[in-house]
Amino acid sequence: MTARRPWLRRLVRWQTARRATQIAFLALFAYLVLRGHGVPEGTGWRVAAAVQPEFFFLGNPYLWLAAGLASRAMLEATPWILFFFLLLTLVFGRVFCGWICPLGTCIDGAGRLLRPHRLEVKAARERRQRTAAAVIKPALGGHTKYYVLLAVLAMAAFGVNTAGWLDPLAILTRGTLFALAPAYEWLVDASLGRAAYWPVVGHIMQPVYLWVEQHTTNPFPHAYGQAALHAAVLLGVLALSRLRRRYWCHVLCPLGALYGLMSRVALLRRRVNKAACNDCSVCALTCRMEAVESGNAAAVDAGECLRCMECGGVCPKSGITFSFLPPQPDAAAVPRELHLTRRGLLGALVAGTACVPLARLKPFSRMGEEEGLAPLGLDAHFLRPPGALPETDFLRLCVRCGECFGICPQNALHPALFQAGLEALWTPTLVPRIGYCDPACTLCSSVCPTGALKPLTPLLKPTAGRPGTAAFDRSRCIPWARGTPCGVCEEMCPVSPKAIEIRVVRVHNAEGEMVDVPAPVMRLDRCIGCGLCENKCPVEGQSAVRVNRAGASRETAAVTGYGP
Amino acid sequence: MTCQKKHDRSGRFVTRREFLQRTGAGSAALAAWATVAPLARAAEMPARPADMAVIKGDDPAANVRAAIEAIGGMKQFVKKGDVVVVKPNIGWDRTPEQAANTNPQVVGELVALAFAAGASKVKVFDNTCNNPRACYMRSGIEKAAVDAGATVLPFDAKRCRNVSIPGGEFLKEWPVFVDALECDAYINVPVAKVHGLSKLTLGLKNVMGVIGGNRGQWHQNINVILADFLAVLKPKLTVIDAYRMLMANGPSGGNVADVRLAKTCIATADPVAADARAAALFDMSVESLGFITRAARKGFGTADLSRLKVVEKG
Repeated sequence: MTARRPWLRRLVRWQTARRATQIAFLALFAYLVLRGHGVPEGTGWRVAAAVQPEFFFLGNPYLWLAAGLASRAMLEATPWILFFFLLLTLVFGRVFCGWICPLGTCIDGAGRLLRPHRLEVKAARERRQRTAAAVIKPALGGHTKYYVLLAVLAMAAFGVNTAGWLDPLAILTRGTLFALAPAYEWLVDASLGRAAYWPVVGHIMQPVYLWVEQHTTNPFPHAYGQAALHAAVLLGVLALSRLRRRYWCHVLCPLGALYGLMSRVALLRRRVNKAACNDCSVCALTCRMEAVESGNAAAVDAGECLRCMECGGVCPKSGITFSFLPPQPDAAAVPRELHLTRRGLLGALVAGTACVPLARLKPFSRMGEEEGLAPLGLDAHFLRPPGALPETDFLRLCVRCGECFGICPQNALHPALFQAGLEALWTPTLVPRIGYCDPACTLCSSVCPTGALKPLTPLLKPTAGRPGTAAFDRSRCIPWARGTPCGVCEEMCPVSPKAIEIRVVRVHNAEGEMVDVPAPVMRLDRCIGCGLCENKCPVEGQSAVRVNRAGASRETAAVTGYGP
Repeated sequence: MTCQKKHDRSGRFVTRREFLQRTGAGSAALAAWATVAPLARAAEMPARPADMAVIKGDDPAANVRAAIEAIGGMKQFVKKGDVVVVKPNIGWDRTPEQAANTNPQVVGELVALAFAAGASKVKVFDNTCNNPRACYMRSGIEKAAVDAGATVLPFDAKRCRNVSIPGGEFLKEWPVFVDALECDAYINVPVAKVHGLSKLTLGLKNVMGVIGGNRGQWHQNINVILADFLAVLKPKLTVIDAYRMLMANGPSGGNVADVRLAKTCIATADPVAADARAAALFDMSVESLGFITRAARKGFGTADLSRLKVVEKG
């Protein structure tokens, strides 16, 4: 068949190329997850991966636009990757979605699993029953994502950057880093890790376990309390493929909406040879994005068309071509209307704007909202990663991509829920009790794609990137409260000279007698807020020495309450 | 006085003179042999090995080799087929120049010596204070140990077993890493550092790297617990790495200005004596170090170095 139809061979080759490209970029994503960790080098750290782990976020125009609008600034380094993808889309159309996006590839895979042939046939029959003139417009159609995009950009224009919640790469990254990767590592540990120490089997299992552990898991393991939530979001997006093969891409994806707008004016177009077309509508029924109008094969929504060329492959009359210029005079590319109503657009704008106060609301300290002052409903112990900009600027730039969480070797960063207001959902917070902030490490700020965590070096970190300073709870600290020696905090303090000094003090012991005991005292002038003391304090539950926001590099003196 | 007539076994009459004559020759021969023989043996055999060696030199590995040789060679401690544990201090995310961990060349040399003495397996591990992967890598110990053929293990809390501490005054039991309990030869190789609470961290304190649990609790009576714990785990050989010594802001250090290049190595089978000798390197008296005095009192070793044969070179 292909001998008589060389165009079919060409199309099949393109489809193979598409699959191969999709797999290659998914493999790149997997590589960036696997090798997106630090490696100790010299006295500091470097990233293990040969490609920047935040690669996909550097080339993301949706996040770039939202962060730029919210922060009212052209993001400083506009990377070449971004321009490359923009150019690619303007020339070839929505190929990012169809050929590159790793979430798109996962959705294609989910579509194959969740929509078996019989479901496709059933849907095709239903679609054929509708008249050719009728426009297919289910409740949630391809236009919804444009409204979503508009709402998000409206919020961003008012300084509330919520783009990252719905960004496909961010959803995939968070779902993988917070849930899937740790779950996999837990499984490996619980199965092979235990079997490796069994009496007889152990001799075979131990090398297997060591190989699997070394090559497929992160050498710096992570665990997150919100894992199930992020797994649910990711799996929910994939599960939507049950309804339509590329439901997320077609109906909801705001990045897809942005690329779609550009794809409508792209140079590579799908053209139909009207003379050959017999209106069988096989192409319309096959299209995974429902881009082709049923009954009018030449009419295609170029903003939905992924240039996957599947329709060309199934056309019985071989009448579909993808080209820059029409191959024959009557090969037409009829654009379909976008069906964005005035009501819809206005509704999206209003909804976005109305959400701004809801996202922003949070109780402030008695001093009121000031530039740079983090809200008080926040505990004093709400900490940001080192190098974080003052809170208002930080929230405008952070796109909740998940990269900083994954790169941190100590699992010190954890996504916020509602402690800092709805606006701050899934932004990074530093939790020293779970993981301390290594003084020599500046990995998180090196992978932040928007500069919400400004670049640091280990030399600058103690002065410019201090997350806070530590203070003792003398009611719980063992020497102070019980008159028994301890000093683990002093032992662990990594600065030289130490920020914790042991001095002999006179206190009441547990029996109420006055005793002399060596007790720790904080030297705030030396403390760098790393949280090693908080992490290692042997007191059960909440640590007796905790890092708080006072003394953080990004905070104004007003925060301390102690005076300038 | 007629001479008493005695009869020997055959019934023959034996006079005192005859008796002395018969036995005298034999005794004289015996006496002669008893005098000469030890001298002859001494001429064949080497001198009695030292109880402790303190070696100074530029090459840390050579220092270790010389020290072990002086106290009788590794075969005194490792038999053929033994599973050996070499326990360095890998506790801190520091480079070798910062002297917070054992010198990697010292560790590598000990592993090599253990294999040369016939060990079937040599395990190296530590329950670190900072990030385990970072500590193992940045200290250089993982590479040095693996290059010498050791099995480097991560510490695993799942592989700890609760053991009782016989004679423990403050603590009665504690979880200990199984591989440390079940080895044939436990070689303790700490690095010499100052410590805020215990004043010095040497051999006795190094055992805190083979235990699990909430280790910070040990600080509540550190001297008593460290001494008592020798009843659970007494190293066959203690090698104190004083090639670089951390003189201030220990045990974590971080500033090379706090490091003294002492180029010294102490090796002995007596864990208490090792710490006592190392204390002298810091100009600290043994009496001021509670863990040493208590351990000596309980009989785990001696702090009185005059009772030991000590070889000092360099």
